[in-house]
Amino acid sequence: MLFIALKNLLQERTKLFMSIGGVAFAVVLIILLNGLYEGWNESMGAYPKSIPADLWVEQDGVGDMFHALSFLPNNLSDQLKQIDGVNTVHPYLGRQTLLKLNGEDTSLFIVAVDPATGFGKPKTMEDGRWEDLKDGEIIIDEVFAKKQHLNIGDEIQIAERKLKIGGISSGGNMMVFQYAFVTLNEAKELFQLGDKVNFYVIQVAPQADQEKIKNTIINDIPGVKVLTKQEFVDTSRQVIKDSFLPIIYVLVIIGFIIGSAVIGVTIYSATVEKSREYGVLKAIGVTHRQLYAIVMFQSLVSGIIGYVVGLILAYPVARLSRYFVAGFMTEFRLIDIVWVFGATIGMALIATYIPVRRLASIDPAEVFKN
Amino acid sequence: MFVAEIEHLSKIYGSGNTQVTAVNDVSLNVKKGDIMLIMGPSGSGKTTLITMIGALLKASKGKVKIHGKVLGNLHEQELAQLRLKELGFIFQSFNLLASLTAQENTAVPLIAAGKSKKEAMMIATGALQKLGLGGRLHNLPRDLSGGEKQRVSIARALVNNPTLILADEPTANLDSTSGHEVMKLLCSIACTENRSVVIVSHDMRLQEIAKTVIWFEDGQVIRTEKGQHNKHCEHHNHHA
Ligand SMILES: Nc1ncnc2c1ncn2[C@@H]1O[C@H](COP(=O)(O)OP(=O)(O)OP(=O)(O)O)[C@@H](O)[C@H]1O
Ligand SMILES: [Mg+2]
Repeated sequence: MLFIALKNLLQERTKLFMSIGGVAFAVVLIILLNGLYEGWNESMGAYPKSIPADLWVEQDGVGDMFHALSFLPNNLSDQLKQIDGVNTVHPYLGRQTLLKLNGEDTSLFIVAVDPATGFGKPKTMEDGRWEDLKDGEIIIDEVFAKKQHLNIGDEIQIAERKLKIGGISSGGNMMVFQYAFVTLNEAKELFQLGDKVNFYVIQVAPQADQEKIKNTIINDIPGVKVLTKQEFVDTSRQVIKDSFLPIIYVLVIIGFIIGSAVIGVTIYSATVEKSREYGVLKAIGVTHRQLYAIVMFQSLVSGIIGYVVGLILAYPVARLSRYFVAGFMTEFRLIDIVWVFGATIGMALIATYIPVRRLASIDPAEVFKN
Repeated sequence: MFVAEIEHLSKIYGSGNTQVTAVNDVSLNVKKGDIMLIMGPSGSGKTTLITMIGALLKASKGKVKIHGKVLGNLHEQELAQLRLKELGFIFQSFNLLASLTAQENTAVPLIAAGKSKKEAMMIATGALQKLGLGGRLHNLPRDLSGGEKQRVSIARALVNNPTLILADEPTANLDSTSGHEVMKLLCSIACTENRSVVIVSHDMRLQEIAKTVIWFEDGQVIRTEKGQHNKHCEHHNHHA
């Protein structure tokens, strides 16, 4: 019976293209939104992940590092090193800093790089070398550079300091701001930290029990909190989970509704136009179930073709968007392609609800009327 | 036994002031191999009657039996099955599916009855060849003449080997030559394949092929006559 569905689809090419287009649009929308979310999620964790840390020590009660400042005394280093299983301890200086560029307020999360050890260095360098970073210089992220039209050699004013751009890095995009890097000395000057640091980063011995070390630190040193690497990366990502995930959900649902509505409308109008033929089939003795299968198959075929078209378009559309918008970073995962397929099948089936009801109401006795 | 038995059948449409009694206490039997022509003026209830016999419309009173089965006792599913296997329909306006070729249109009842598409298409080809449409297998309905369309619809009505063919004004949309072709076909369907045919029509010429003629008026049978069948049908036997 399903060949009737295919024949009908081919006969009504305009309708077929419309529903394919609608589904493809919805699929591109859903995949891009999801890809954006994943991309952001990935990108926000990228820099913190690149730091060779096993444990992060921060001031208790601070939460994530973007909403409040953590201050710890700079003499904790020795105390931490005494703890069994701790291999290395690095102070980590970094804070969000407001600046004015071309008359507009913007911000950078400035991190100190230890020129001796490279600790705190950018994830990846795009232009210049972090090893060459001097006091009075700054490395900015490519996203920031693109957004602000800045290049190596340009100068930006941060607080009282004029900093020359000494390099361009990547992997430090946090959407609402980007990471930037200065020398340890420069950071001390800039942040006016005095005898404080923001975090301590601990590397533990290869076989050490992280959980035990964590507890020892909390017990021995009052007023600190200890996060594992994963927890620290997660707090970085939490910002986007809290603010963007609900928005993405809403947009994905809208995409889903658009897709269902477009197939629904085209399948419905095709069903109405062919209602006499469906009546003839009923009269001949074709069962309701077989008729529903015809309509559902039409919907599924348009849905699946639309999905494939959407899938093919999604990547180039993402690339194109990236070309125009620096922050448009998408990450496509197999699992998303699978669930979007499931969602497409869902759209196609939901779309048949009204057409199927219409089908059920066709009176086969009508076929004797002219 | 009769192929179809109609007992005190009535159909009342609507209610109150707009109530119409389209069929009024009709009783008649269709014998095996009979060609029954039901003739009557417009609005006399012919279509209503044949629709009830065809298990497509519920009776208000009385009953229809097909091969002894009372239609009123069957479920929707069973009625569909009965229409598919036991009945063949021929309509005035052909009612072919526009996006299907002649061959595919003919194959539909076979596929609906569970045959594979391949087998159905083969049987459909044979059926169409018998009706002289071997060269029209892959034409869409819009590329067929009226007479050809009606022959395709006859092929479709016959493929599942039904015992009762129901035709409502099968010649009304055809020119006289094509109409005559269709008449001959209906005649041979009954004669050589021993099926029963019930035809509802205004077309007086159909009396030539009828074995029984029922005169219908205001929803009632007013006269039953023997048709002129013997005079004509012998001459044109089935193609096969
Ligand atoms: N669905 C319906 N609802 C209400 N009245 C109906 C309906 N179908 C038919 N009728 C009425 O029933 C009567 C019989 O109609 P029917 O179509 O059976 O006549 P007919 O003999 O086939 O006429 P024709 O030769 O014009 O086809 C008419 O008065 C018609 O208006
Ligand atoms: Mg009629």
